[in-house]
Amino acid sequence: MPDEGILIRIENITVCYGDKIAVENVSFTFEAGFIYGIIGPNGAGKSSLINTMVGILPIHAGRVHYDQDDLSKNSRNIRYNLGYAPENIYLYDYLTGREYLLMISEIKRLPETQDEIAYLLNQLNLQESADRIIVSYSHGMRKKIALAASLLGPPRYIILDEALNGLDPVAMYNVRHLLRNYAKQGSTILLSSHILELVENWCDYIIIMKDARLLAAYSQEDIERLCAKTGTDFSTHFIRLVAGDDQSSA
Amino acid sequence: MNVLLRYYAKQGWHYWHNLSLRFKIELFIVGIIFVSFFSEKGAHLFFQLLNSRDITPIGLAVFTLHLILLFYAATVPFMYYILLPKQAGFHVLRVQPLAGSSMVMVLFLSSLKYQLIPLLLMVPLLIAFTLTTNVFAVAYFVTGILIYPLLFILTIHFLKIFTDSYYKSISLYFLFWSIYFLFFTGLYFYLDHYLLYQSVFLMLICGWFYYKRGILDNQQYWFNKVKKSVRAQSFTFIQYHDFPKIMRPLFARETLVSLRNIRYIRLKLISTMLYILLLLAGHEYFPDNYIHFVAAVTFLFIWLHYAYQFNEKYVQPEFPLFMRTMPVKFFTLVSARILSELIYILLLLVLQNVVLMLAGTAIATILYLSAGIIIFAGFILYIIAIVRIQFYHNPRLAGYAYHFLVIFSVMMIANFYLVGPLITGSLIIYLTLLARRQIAR
Repeated sequence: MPDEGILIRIENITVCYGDKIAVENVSFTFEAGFIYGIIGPNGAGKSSLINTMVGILPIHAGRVHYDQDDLSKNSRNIRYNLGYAPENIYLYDYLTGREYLLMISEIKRLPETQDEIAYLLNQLNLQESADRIIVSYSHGMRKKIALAASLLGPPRYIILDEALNGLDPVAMYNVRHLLRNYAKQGSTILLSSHILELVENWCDYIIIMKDARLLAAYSQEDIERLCAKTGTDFSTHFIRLVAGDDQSSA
Repeated sequence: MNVLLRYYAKQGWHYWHNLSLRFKIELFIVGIIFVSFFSEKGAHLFFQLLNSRDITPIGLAVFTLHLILLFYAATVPFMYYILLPKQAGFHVLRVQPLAGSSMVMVLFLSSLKYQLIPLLLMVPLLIAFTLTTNVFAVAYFVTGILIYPLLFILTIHFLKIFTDSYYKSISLYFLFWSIYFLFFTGLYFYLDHYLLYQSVFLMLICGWFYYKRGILDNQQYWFNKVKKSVRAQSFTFIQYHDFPKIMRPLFARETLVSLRNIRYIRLKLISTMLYILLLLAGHEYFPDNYIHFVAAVTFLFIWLHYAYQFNEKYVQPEFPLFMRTMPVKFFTLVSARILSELIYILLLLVLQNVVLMLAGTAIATILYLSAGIIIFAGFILYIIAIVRIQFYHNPRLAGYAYHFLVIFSVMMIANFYLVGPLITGSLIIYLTLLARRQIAR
């Protein structure tokens, strides 16, 4: 049985593309009610780790548990409760934004979701274009629809892979509050981003990856303590850490 | 002439220069064959027309020219509103300070790309004309070919700026040129000074364009207002309300995504027309073995028509998010795909049965054939569904697998009566299990 409060547990995950190791022996536990952020330089293995966690990439070694379900053995149960927004957006061009959300909610068998869809569209400032075909959407609008689809439910596990990059400031503000509310309701949220400020300000825990490994993990208290101790801000610490100058980690 | 326009006009020349020598020689040889073949045929036809009917050389020139121009004129609005704005060259030129007359030249030069086939056809036609008619007729023909295409472009462009409306400009364009063609082509035999009237009319048009040429300079990026060709949403998700809930989202997705894709609709229409034409042609050429012909054509048609399912123009490929992170059930997805295409199969069956009944085929035979076609179509649609799931990340590979599977299955079943179906069945079951693993564990 999993520990109380732990929703997602990854154990010794290793992912390879041929000979190249993308993620090497990473373990972590994600607790309910918190927002986690993954950050790291390009090629650090963030997207590979996330793709493995949602089942897109096969795991070469290790395990991923969502509550008591093992991803490799019982993925269907997990899928009903998983909201995932990928970095590269693929949507059905000839459905309208609202229809796409309806389709996702019906596939996930969510109870009456019309109001929730309207609420999400409103929060993402998409209500006026919701009944237009997706092919006519801009890149930002497509991102918003993909994000709204991942938040339907709301799901127990929300995983956003660079899904917030490129959103307008109003949508960012609303999404931040939405995610915080979902976390309060018991969801576990994991987001990856290249924007250090976003991860630092939004997340309760920050995970830093480099060269396929988990380099360090900090809570907000750790960050405050670290900044006070070194007299620098977190971004300076992050840059030193990924450059290999700083060996301290929480 | 605007410097940019000069470079724009040079594109064709540069294109020719960049072709390899081998390609140039090949084009030259093909051109010689093409021109000599059609010139000879054209000359023969013109000679017959001039001798057997009461047609004068200039009359032949009028009718041939107007026939070609009629086709040309009909395609110009489509070219002006849809094809030209898509050309990359326009995106460079639209931000340049072009004069109205330069813009008309740009339009004309750009339109030549789409008129390549009619222009190529002109060469043998012109040679045939030269061989059979007199200089005056040839001169008339050449003048017409040089003047009219520019006038067509100028008319639609003028009307677009003048009316500032998509529909009004097209309507007025067609109205004007229809009247023109009806009048001048239809009245050729009744007007004593036909060419004089035509010349005066053309001069009047040109005069009006010249008088109103200031309009051209007032244009502001006319192609920004081009309408996007997005198909109206004639069906909506809500209309699937009474459909079984388990199937509804996937069935609605399959049908809506297809019905709103204009390319898909066009493909279905053209394919169906082709199928009907083949059936009707078969009745003429294979009356004795008509039922066999219909069966063969239908089986082949279903197999080859559904190859479009592996072309991203008609079918959007599945993506990892849908296949790997959504709680989709394998058999629900397969059933939704088969059901969404079953309506078209039924339509084909109705068409085929009507044709067979008209040809006097016995009802029992029609029923046997229909049953066979339904089984075959089900088999094809099932194979498509499983290979599309198995190779969802690579539609091309899925296409190869589809063709291989169909050919393999037909060969096995046709040649090895007991072992063949068994091996095919085993292969299909194995592939089903593989495909199932892609979305469900």
